[in-house]
Amino acid sequence: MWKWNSRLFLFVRRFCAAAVFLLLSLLFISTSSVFLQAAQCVAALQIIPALMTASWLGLILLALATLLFGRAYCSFFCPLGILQDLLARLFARRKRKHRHFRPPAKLMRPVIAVFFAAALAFGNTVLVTLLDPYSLYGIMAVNLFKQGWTALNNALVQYSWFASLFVLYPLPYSNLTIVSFLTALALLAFFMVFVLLRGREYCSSICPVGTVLGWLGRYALFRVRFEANQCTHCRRCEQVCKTSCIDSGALQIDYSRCVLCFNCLPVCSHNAVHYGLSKLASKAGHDSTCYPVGKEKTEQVEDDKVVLVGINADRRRFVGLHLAVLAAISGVGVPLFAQARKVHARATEKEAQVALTPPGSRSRAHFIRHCTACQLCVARCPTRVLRPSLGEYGLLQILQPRMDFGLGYCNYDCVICSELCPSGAILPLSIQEKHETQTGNVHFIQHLCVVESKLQSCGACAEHCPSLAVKMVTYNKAPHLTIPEITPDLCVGCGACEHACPVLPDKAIYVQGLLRHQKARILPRGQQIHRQMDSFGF
Amino acid sequence: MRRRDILRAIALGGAAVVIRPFGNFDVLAQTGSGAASGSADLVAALGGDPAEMLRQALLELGGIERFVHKGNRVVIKPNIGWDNTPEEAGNSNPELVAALVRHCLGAGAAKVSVLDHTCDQWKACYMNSGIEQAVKAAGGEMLSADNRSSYQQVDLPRGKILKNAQIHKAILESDAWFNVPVLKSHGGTGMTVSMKNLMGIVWDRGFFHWNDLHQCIADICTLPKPPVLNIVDAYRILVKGGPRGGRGKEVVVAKGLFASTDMVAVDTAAIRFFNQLRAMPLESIGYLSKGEELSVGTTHLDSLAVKRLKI
Repeated sequence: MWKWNSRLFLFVRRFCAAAVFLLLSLLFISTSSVFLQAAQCVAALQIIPALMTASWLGLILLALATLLFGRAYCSFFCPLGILQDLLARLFARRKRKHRHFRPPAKLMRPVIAVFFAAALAFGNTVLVTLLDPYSLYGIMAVNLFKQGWTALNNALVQYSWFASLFVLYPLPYSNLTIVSFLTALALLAFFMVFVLLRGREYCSSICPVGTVLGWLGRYALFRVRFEANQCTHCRRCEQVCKTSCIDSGALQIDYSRCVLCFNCLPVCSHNAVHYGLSKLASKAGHDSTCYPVGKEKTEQVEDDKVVLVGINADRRRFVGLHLAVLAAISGVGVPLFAQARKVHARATEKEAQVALTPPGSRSRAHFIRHCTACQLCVARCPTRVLRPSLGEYGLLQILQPRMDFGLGYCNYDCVICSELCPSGAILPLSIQEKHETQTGNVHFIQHLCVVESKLQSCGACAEHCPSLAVKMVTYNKAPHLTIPEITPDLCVGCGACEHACPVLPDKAIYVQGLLRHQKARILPRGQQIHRQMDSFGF
Repeated sequence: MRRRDILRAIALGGAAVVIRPFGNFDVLAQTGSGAASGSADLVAALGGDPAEMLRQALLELGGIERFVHKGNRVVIKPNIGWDNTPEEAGNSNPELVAALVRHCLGAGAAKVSVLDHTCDQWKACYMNSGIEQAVKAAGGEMLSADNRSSYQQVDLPRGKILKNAQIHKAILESDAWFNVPVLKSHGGTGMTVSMKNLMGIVWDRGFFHWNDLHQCIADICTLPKPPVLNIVDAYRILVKGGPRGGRGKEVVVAKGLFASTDMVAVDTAAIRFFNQLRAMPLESIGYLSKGEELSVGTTHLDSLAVKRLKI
C-alpha cells in the first residue's frame, strides 16, 4: 500500500483541473491558437463527444482510468465539474453548512441515464444537450464568459483608442441569440444555487455521465478508504465531502458517487483516510470497511442510518430536492420549447427557408444526430455566420448551430469549424473539398432587386460571390446597368450574396439550404497574363 | 436689453454657426497637403516594380515631404476588401503599400497605420493579401476597421443623397491620409479605383447600394477631409469578374501606377489605361461625372499638368 502525503493528492487534482479548465476556456473564449491542439484533445476526450465520434480508443482509455482510479474524470477532466468547484470556491460563505451523508438517489440516476441513452439512440435531442456536462459548460462559456471577456476587452480598447496596439482591437459580441443567452443564464443560476445548497449533487444524482462512471467507479482498484482502527468518527471527512458520499459512522464510502476531490484526505487528523490500492484487490483480506457499496450493502447501511439520523425527514427532503431538480430542468426546457415552436410557426408561414448546416456536416440528418450543441463552432466562427438555431431544424434540435447570414457569411477559404468540432457533427474538410461542397443553392427574385425596382447600379451580391455563381450581366431593359445572373451549380451556399444584398426585409437573393450536401462545380483558378503596355491610353 | 446687445448676440450666434464647433473642426483638419509648387498634378508610371514607380512618382509630385511632415500620424487606406492572394489582384499590391509606409516613416511620420473596412473576414483579408506582413515589416501598424465603435459620424454638406457617414476615427484623427486603391473591374459600378475605394472608410455600405450607388460614391468623395494623395495600383489588374479575385477571374500584369491629389482625375486616367485591356467608356462610370458635378475633381486631363514616366 502506498502512503503519500494527502495534500499532494489535493494539489494534483487542483493542478490538473486548473489546466483542463484553462485549456477549455481558451478554446471557447479566445480565438487564439495558443495550446489549440492540447485544448482540442481535452475536448475530444470528453465522454459524450467521444461517444459521438465513436472514438473507442478514448472511451476505453477513460473506462480503464475509471476502473483504476475511480471517478477521477469528474474532478480532473469534466469542465462542468470543475466549474461547480470554482463556483463553490468563489461564492460559498466562509462558514459553510457542514454536509452529512446522504443515501444515493437509487431510482433517479438510472431513470435519467436511461432517458439520456434513449435520446442518444433515437436521434440527438435537446435532452442530450441539457444533460451532457461538456455541452452545458460550452453553452455557458460561449454565451456568458466569452461575452464578459468581450466587454472587458472593449472597455480597454475604449480607454486607449488610437494608441492601442493591433492586438487590442474592439471585438464584436458573439453570434449568440437571446434564447441561447437566457438558457445559459438560467443554467448558471441553477448551478450556482445548486452548488451552494447541495455541493456536487448534480454530479452524484443527475449527470448521466457521472452515473455511468459511478457504475465503473465501484470496482476501482484505487480508492479512498478508511483505516478503521485509527478512526475516531469525528465526521470531519463527511462534512467536507462534495457529493455527501462518506458515511463516517459506518465507515462506508459510496464509490459510485465519490468524484475523487480528495477533500477528505487532509482534514483527517488521525491519518485514518487514505487514497490507495483497495485492500480487496491487494488480497489483504478481511477489512470489512473496504467493500464497495454493493446493493445488499447499501440497504444494510440505510437500515443503520434509520437508527442514526432519522431517515424519514431525510427521505422527504431528498424526494423534494429531486422534484425541484426536475422542475428546474423543465423550467429551462419548457420556455425553450415554447420559443422554438413560435419561431417554427413563423418560419413555416412564409416561404420556409431551409436552414443550412455548415460545410462538412454532409447532411442535416448526420449533423443533428451528432451535434451536442456545445457551441464551440459558434464561439470560433470568424465570420459569425454560425449561430444557435431556434427550431429551424426542429423543436428537439434547438441550439444546434445553423448558418445565419444576418451577421456574416461563410468564408470561402475557411474550414475552422470542421477542424474544431469534437463530436464529429462537422467532419474535417480540406479547402479544396470545401470549394466542392454545396450546402445550399442560390435563388434570385428579380423584381425585388435594386437594379430592377429602382433602376440603379448595385452588384453587391456578385462582388461578394467567391465562386462566380452570381455574376453581373447587361440588363436588357436598361443597357447602361448590369443585373445579377445566377449559375446554381457553381454555388457553394456560403450566403455572401444574401448577406450583402441591401434589399430589406426580404432579400432579393438568398440561399436555400440542402438537406443533403451536393457537389459544386468549380471553375479553375485564373492564370496571370503578362502584357507589355506601351501606351498610357490618354 | 439694449438693441446693441441683441445685435451683438445675433452676430456671435451667427459666427458660432458658421465656424464649426471646435471638435469637428479639429477632426477634419489636415496638415499634410500643401499647394503644388511647379510639380505635376498627375503622374502616370509604367513598366517598373511597384516600389520604384512609387518612388519616381512621389519625386514628380514634389516629394513625400509635401504630404507628410515630421511627427505626423499617417493613415494609409489600401483596398484590402477580399480574402485574396496578391496574385488574385483583388487587393492593393502589398509591396506598394509597404513602400509608402517606408516613405512616410522616412519623412518623419510618428506613426503609420493601415486599415480597410473589408468585405470578407478582416483578419483573413489582412493576412492573405500579404499587406499585414508587408506593413509590419516596413514599420507600420494594421488597425481594425471591423467594429462600429471605431467609427464616428461626419456631415457631408455637399452630398446629394449621402448627407452624413460613419467614418473611421483613425482617418479623422490622422494628420494626413493616403488613398491607395487597386485598379480593377467591378460588376456593379463598372470600375473601382480611388473614388470607390472610399467606401472602405465608411461603416454602413448597405445605404450606398440601396440609394443610388454612383451618387453615393460621388457624395462620399466630398468628405471635408479628402486624402492628401491618391495612388492607384495598376500593377496586377483584375480585368474581368472583379472586384473579388479568385476562381474563374482574369488577371493581367500591366505594371502601371497613377498618382494624383485629384480623385476624379486619377480615376479617369486609370480607367482610360484600363480601356486598352477591355473596352470601358468613361460615360459608363456614373460616379466620375457626378463627382465632377460636385467639384471633387476633373475628368479633363488636358487641364492638368500630367507627367508620364516609363521605367
